This record gives sequence, C-alpha cells and structure tokens, in this order.
Amino acid sequence: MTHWIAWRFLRSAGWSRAALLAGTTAVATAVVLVALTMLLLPSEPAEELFSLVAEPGLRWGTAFATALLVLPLLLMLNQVVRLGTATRERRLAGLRLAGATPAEVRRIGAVEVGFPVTVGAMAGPVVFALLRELFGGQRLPAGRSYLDLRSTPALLPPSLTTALIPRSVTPAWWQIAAVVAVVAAAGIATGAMASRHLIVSPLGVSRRAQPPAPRPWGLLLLGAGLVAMAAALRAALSGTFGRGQALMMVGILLVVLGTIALAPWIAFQSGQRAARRTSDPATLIAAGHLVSDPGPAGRAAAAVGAIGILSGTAAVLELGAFLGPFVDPFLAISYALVGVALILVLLVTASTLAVHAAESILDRRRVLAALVAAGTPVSVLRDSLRREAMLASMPLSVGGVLLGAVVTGGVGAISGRPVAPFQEGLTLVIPVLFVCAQVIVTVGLTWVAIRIAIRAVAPRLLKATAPANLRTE
Amino acid sequence: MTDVILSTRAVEKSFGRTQALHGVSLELTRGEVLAVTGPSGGGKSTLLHCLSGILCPEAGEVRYNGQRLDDLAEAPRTRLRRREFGIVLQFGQLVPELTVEQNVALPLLLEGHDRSAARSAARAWLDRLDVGELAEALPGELSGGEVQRATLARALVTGPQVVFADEPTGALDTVGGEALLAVLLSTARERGASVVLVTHDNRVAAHADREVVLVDGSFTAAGVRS
Repeated sequence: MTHWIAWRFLRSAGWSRAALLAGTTAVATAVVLVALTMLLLPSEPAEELFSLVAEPGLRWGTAFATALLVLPLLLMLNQVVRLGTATRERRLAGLRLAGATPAEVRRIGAVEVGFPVTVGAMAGPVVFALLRELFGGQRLPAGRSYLDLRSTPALLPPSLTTALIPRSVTPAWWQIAAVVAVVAAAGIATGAMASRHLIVSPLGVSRRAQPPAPRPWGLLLLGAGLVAMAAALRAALSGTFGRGQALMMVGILLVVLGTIALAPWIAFQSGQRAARRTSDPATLIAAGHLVSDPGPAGRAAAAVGAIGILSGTAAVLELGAFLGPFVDPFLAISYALVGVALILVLLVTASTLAVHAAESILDRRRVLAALVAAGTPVSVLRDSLRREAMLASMPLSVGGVLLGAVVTGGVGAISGRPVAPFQEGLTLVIPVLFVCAQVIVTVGLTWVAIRIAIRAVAPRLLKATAPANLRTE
Repeated sequence: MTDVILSTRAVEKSFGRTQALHGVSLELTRGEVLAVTGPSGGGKSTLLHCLSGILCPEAGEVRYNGQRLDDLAEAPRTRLRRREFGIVLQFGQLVPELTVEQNVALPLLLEGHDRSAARSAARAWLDRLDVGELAEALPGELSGGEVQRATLARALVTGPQVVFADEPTGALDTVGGEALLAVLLSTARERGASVVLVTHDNRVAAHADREVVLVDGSFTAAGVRS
C-alpha cells in the first residue's frame, strides 16, 4: 500500500524533477567510476593516454581532481531534491490527515527521492561507458610500452589530449556495485538532509524551528586544510613525496569542503550588510530572503567558491608556466583541461542556481503574486532573484580566487621554487595584475552563469505572479 | 457624473470554459464604500481583480478617473496600482523575509523615495494602526490581526484613492475582524478614499454604503444603505 502511494506521489511530483535527480546521480556515478578506473591503471598502461593520466606520479592527483567534480553535482542534487517542496509538504500533510503514521510518511517521502536517485546511480555505468567511448585511451603503436608526452612533447598527437579515460582496465563488478550503492546512498542522504527540519502533522507541515543564523564553522575546515597543505610541503621538502602527495590531497579536500561549509555564512553576512544599507527594493527583497534562509542559496552558490580557488591556483601556475623560457605543451594542454573543467563546473553551478531560483519562486508564488498585485513590477522581482544569487556568489568568487592564488604562490615561495619566476625587471606588480585579471575573469564568468540561470527561470516567475496565485489554496 | 472614480461597462471574463463575469457594469463614486458579496465561486475576486487592473477583461471596459484601465500596458497599470490603489488580501501576503517596517516601506522605495523618508512614513502608518512596536518584527512573528494591520499600512502608505480589500477579515476572529474593519473604513473615510470590499460575510457588508450581490458572474441585487 505504502509503495503504491509512493509511486503515485512520485508521478505527481513530476517526471522532470525525477529525471533531473536521476540524471545528476547518473553523471556523479560515472565521474566516480572514471576516477576509480584511473586508479586501477598499472604503472605502465597498455594504452596511450594523456600524461596526466598515464604518468603514475600525476595519476593520483588527476583521479582526485576528477572525483572532486562530484561535489558540484551533489550540491545540484541538494537543490533538485528541494524542488516542489511546498507541494510535496501539502501532499504529506494530506497523508497524515488520512491516517498515515509519521514513519509511513517518512518512508513515502524517502521513496520520492530514493527511487529516481537509485535509477540514476544504476544508469551511471552506462554514462561511464559512453564517456569512455568519447574520451578513452588509444591502442599502443607496435613496439612501444607507453608514451610519455612530457619527455617527448614533439610527439604530442592532438587526439591524445582527449585520451583521458583508460580502456585497458575496467572496475570489477563488485567495485561498480559499490560505487552505485555509495552514490545512491549519498543522494538519499542529501534528500533526507533537505527535509530534516520538517514536522508533518495532519494540519500541515511546519519547521522544527527557524533555522539559526549560520556560524563560520567552515573556517575550521579551511584552517585544517591549510595546515595539511603546509605539512604536505614539509614532507615533500624532506623527500617523502608519497606522504606529501596524500597530505596535499587531504588539504585540498578540506579547503574545498571548508569553502562549501562557509558558503551559507558568507551568504548570510552579505545579505545582512546589503539589507542594512540598501534603498533599492530589488536588493532589499533579495537580502531579506538571504538573511532569513541563507542555507539553500549559499549551498547553490558554494561551487563558485571552489571554482574561484581552482581559478586562482591556475592563475599563479599559468603565470609560472608562461613567463618561463619556453611554453611546455604538456603544461599548456593541462591548463586548457583545467579551464574546460572550470567551464563544466560553472555550467553545473548555473544549473544549480537556476534550480534554486525556480524552487524559491514556486515556494513564494503567493507572496510574489501579491507584490505584483500591489504594484511591484515583475522586473523588480527578476532583479531581486539575480541580486540574491550575486550576493551569495560574488564574495565566494573573489575570495576563492585570492585564496587559491595566495596559497599556491605561498607554497611555491616557501618551497624555494616560486611558481611565478621573478626574472630581471619583473616586479611583484605583474603577478598582482595577473591575479586581478583572473578575479575579473572569474567574476565575469560567475555573472554570466547567474544571468543564464535567471533568464532560464524568467517564464516561471511570470507564471508565479499570475493573479490565479492570489487565491487561497 | 464627475464624482465617479471607477466604473466598469459590460465586463466579461472567463477562465477556460468557466465564465466568471457576465457583462458586469458598475460605478464607484469618490469616497464610497462598496461591498461585493455573494457565494463562493460567484466571481467576486475576479471582479476585484478586473477593477484594480490586476486582470484585464476579455470584453467591456474598466475606467479609472475616466481613463481606460484595460487598454493600458502591464507596466503603466502596475505603476497606477502602486500609486492610486491600495490592496489588502485575506492572508496579508507580506514578504515573510522582510521586517514589518520594510514591508510597509516597499511601495515608497519602488517609487524612488529615499530610505529614511520611506522608513519614517512606514513607521508613522504603523504607529497610527497601533502596530508601531512591531516594526522590526518579521511577519511570521505576528498574529493574524497584526499582519492585517501591517498589510493595511502597506496599502495606505502611498495615499491611495481606492482601497481594494478581498476578504480582509476572513482569517480573523469576530472581534479582530470588527477592529480591522473599523480602522480600514475610518482611515479611508478620513482620507476621502473609496473602498471596494469583497466579502461573503453579511456583518462585514453591513458596514458598506452600498452592497452588490454577485452570483455566477452577474449582479442579482444592489442596495444602498444610509
């Protein structure tokens, strides 16, 4: 009986939401499988791959960076789960009124998220196979063991720059099953987290309490990450590279998680400051919404912080590479790949912001309709959505680039191998200008992502402000 | 007649296959309090939405101070609603994330008033409606009656010529409803503003100068009270 109701609810929640949940989980599963396959490669692979994957010394870092791509996807999943919350809450309250116990309601609610997420995770291996078709390694030429492109840059065939996923190894069935299970569990846990404050009673759904103002606990993670990176540097300088590499990965992971954890606090602070100073109605509405519930907007924008850190790191490394005596094609291609990854993450972030804005519109449609009825132009409400995203994202974007640049530059300087070589006549002004330019580029790209996201939800806003939404439901 | 402020002539409005208004004609004079009553689904709210320019009728016309409302584009209609009309709905519909004072100041900020002027005007209206001490509270922290008073302050802060109220006491108890109605009508009369009051409650309608009954989209009766 419960399953039948859950199935009916799943259908009434809309196939587009289910498809988004399944699609996001499928891509996340595929990304984890790609990272796992990289780690399964022997030290001398039986295929041609780009050096970032082929070289055992670089492979761990590449697999780690690939696995990190799961984070923006999980942030997206967190937003998609919240889509249609108001309607779902009414359905669940209706069930309680009809006699369902709280446990039954929780079970039914879990199926709504769990089913599409599990289907998505199970479709992940198919997406992985498709990706491997597109970006798989190439068969070795006769008589060669494997090609080290860094040592033989002249032999760099253009097709090899996209040979990133090993074909000669495939995870065992139990490894694939484990990845599917872990990603599905992460998706279901994300869904449970999104509704943990709800109490479903027969008379409606209420929150346990007004969520408290977020605290900057993320700074602890950030600090721990920087300590781990310093320890990594120390280990590397003392000759224990393996330990240093592992510590560096832990450090990067902690810094990225710290930035994500800090995002709601930054959104709250930014909203509070704007609300105190502005006399612009769009900014006032945006800031008020951010301050009252900074979590969803902050988490939607969190990936921007990670993009900023990567962007700042890349800026300093690029400066080092391109100011050198010659431009190494391996480095040039590697940075281009980092650039592609940044654009992909930015697209995921734009989608996440769009989903967040759509949910925010759906949830507040009666208030929005009443504002328009009382004479607020729809353009002001559209501006308020854009400003809310800007207030949450821009501090993360600027802060992320500066953090990435300072940490990378600092690591280089302390290790005695500055990444931006100070040649004769080259002062500190040039690196600073380069980082400033990177800030402008990253902020510009974030701005574009926000514009795309808000433009995508403009028709929903128009629909939400229709007079039909003034009526009592 | 020169003192007609708002009028409709043969207004038709439908939603899909449901005809909500059938050739409704009506005149509202300056300072008049008009009650629109009738059973649920009779077209009361749709008429209010057409009169206030929220909806445009499919046939017929709506005039405000002699000017066709239904011919105006969305942007000038929105500006007109903000400057000339005040709107009060059943559940207030204040922006839940803004403080009461910010909610009341919002129409003035939209009009381009500076922040301090908008805040002091909002505070003055809240004081006048006896909710001044709640200026810094969020709408979620207020009782139903307090929310409606704050909504009324928001509706009156721009000095409207017509106040539209759709079941303004529908979510309140009898005493709270009577008190709100008294404030609404006394303030409107003092300022010479007209009021269109949509209600299904005869006790509320009894406060109006005139009552029209809307059933299935047509008027069935109209009465004038002294």
